[in-house]
Amino acid sequence: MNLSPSATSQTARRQKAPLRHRLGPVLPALPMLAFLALFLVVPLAIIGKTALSDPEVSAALPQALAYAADGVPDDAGFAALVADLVEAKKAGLMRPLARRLEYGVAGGSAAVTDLARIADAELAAQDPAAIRLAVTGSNPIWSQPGIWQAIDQGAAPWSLFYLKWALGVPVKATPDGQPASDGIHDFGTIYLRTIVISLLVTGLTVVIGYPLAYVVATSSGMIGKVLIFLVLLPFWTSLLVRTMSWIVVLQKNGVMNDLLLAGGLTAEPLPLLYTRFATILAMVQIQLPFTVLPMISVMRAIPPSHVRAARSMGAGPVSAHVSVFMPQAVPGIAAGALLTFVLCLGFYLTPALVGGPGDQMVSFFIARFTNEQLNWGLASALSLVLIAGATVIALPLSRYVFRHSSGRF
Amino acid sequence: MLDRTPPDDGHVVLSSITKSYDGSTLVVRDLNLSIRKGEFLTLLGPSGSGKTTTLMMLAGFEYPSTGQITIDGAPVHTMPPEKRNIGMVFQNYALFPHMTVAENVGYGLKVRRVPRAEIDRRVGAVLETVHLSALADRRPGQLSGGQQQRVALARALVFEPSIVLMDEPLGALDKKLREHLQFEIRQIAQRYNLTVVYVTHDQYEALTMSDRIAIFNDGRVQQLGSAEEIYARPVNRFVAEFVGDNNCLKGRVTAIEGEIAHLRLQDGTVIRARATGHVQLGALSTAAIRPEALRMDAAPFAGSLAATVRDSIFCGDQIRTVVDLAGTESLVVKSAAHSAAIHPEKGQCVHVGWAWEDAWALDA
Repeated sequence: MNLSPSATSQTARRQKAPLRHRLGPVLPALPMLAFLALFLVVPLAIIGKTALSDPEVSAALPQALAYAADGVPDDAGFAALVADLVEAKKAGLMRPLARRLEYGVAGGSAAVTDLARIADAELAAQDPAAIRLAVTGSNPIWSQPGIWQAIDQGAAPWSLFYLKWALGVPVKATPDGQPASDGIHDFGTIYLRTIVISLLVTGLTVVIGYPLAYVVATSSGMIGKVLIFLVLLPFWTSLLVRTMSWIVVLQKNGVMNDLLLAGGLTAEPLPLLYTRFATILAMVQIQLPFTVLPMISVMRAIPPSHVRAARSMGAGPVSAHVSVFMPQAVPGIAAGALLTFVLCLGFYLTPALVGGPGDQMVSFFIARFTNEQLNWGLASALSLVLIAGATVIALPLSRYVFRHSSGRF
Repeated sequence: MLDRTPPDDGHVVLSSITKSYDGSTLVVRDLNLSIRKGEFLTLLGPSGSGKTTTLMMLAGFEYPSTGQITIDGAPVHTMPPEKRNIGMVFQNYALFPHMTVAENVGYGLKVRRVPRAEIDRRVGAVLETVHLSALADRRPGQLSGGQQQRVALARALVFEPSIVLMDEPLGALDKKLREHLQFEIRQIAQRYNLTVVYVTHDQYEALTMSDRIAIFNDGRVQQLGSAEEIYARPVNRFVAEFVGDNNCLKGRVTAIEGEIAHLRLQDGTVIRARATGHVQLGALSTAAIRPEALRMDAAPFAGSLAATVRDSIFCGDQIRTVVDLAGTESLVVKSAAHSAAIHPEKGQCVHVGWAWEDAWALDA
């Protein structure tokens, strides 16, 4: 059989189609692409900008910056500081400056407020030595290197200050210039906790979900239909309702404790709510469908004859399952696990409602810095770290899933 | 062909088997089948006739609702498939996509904990047999349909089972390849003296490959016999119509003279056919006559019926002529294309007839 003549002519005909034709297949996806651009790319860009922008110090203290590079400056530096503050007061830049300097040095906010009270045109007109005396008199922090380091830190309108902070680099100093322990937000621990909880939940949903997916995928009758209904049921109630119901179940006088007491398994009610246990339990329940559904879809495509063939060749039911069925189900397991893991990394509501203070994940702190402390720079930087981390972890795995899914997703 | 069917030694015996999936409809009813060592037995029937269910019960993937299956006298019908030591070739092959050809073929040895070196040797040998040695490291997805079929065959042979089951193994292949593989499977079966139970709905495959054929319909074996028997001596109307082409003429039995039954057709014509056990005086009967057993002539001859040519189709080696009888019936006549017999024109009046021994008076 000679195929070459037709093959050659086919290659010859495959010239580049006009742009109009090549765009054709994409056209129906345009609304979705526009949506993505508007509600994913734009917000991401804004988050990135917010995380990197650090304008307060350079806007409020343009002259004093020049003197801040080497710790406490000479008299001229103090004169420049007061001159800047007089202008900043007029422009209303005091509050942002106070907040920003507090991020860099303990007591920075008070120092700015105290100085603002005395800084006026009259003081600015005095000679530098007198100004210095007045400034250090308003708040002794001004005579220490810490606050000048903080000013130098914010010298540029764009900086990695918030990103460093979000990555756990100590950014805050004591007034005398030593690194201050920011004991409340140990971000390293928080990231680790986020990853550990996500891995645990992912692992548990895979372990619980695999047999479930197997039964759903391989049973043809009522059992499969009922099980898939039960798997999908949680999708029909809101996340909030499901999480709240865990509170009902797990609280001190809740269903679970009643059962434990009735069964004589415990003498007094156990503290189940606001624990790591509650957090993981609720998250597993919420994530189970996400892990199970891709598994079912992949398992359904495995012909039952494969396991039968293995059995006919002498493999027992378990051995046939492990050596023939399971390897073919791996892309589904990976897809489900990936989906759940990535979703878990961003969990906020459930740990916040049923977890304790030591169970909060990164998203909780993003929300806290956004809503309570109004530190949008840090919130944005934390978001960027979360997105980058999720991408780094998920990318190799999702490449694997896509390569082995043979177009099922 | 010589009858090489081995004597009935009761190698595999299915006795009084019934099978129902839902408890009310019987997929297999009262099946009795004795399979001989080394024979090539084909289960032939339309879909839903119970042939695949029977195969699945032999393999151990389904369990009979009643009755028992024995291999060399030992009951096996409750044994799980992995204990039966029966090789199986599946429809669509069921090759493991995540394993290479060699791993697929070696699977049955690996689960039997055969030493590595021994596995390699036996896999190599069986791949040689099916002409696939060069493709041992490929994955099934990289093979053609015919090559996949050979892997499936090699996989079923490698652990040297005495019985091999095949479930429509050639169904997905094109005609040329199918014919080639039919021949190869026969060769291998003979070389290894395998007992093969082969399921197909392709009657030509059944006729060319089998020592014996069991015709299935409606959960029962309708007829069991060699290809020649099944073709030349159908026991009932279903077999007559299912295997090969047959002309069926329905009529009432007006007389039985020894082996000859007289049937009066609807238009009053009386024809003669060989009487079978189904024939009862006064009852309806169907006479089945093979198209090639019909003789057609321009002039009337003894026992011939007048007919009009409706159509004549040239099929290369033969000519098929459709003729309408006086009543509502019509017949298909097959004649060799090169013969000197008449080449009828459409609308021409002809006369057709047959020897009474070639017509079988069967159930209505």
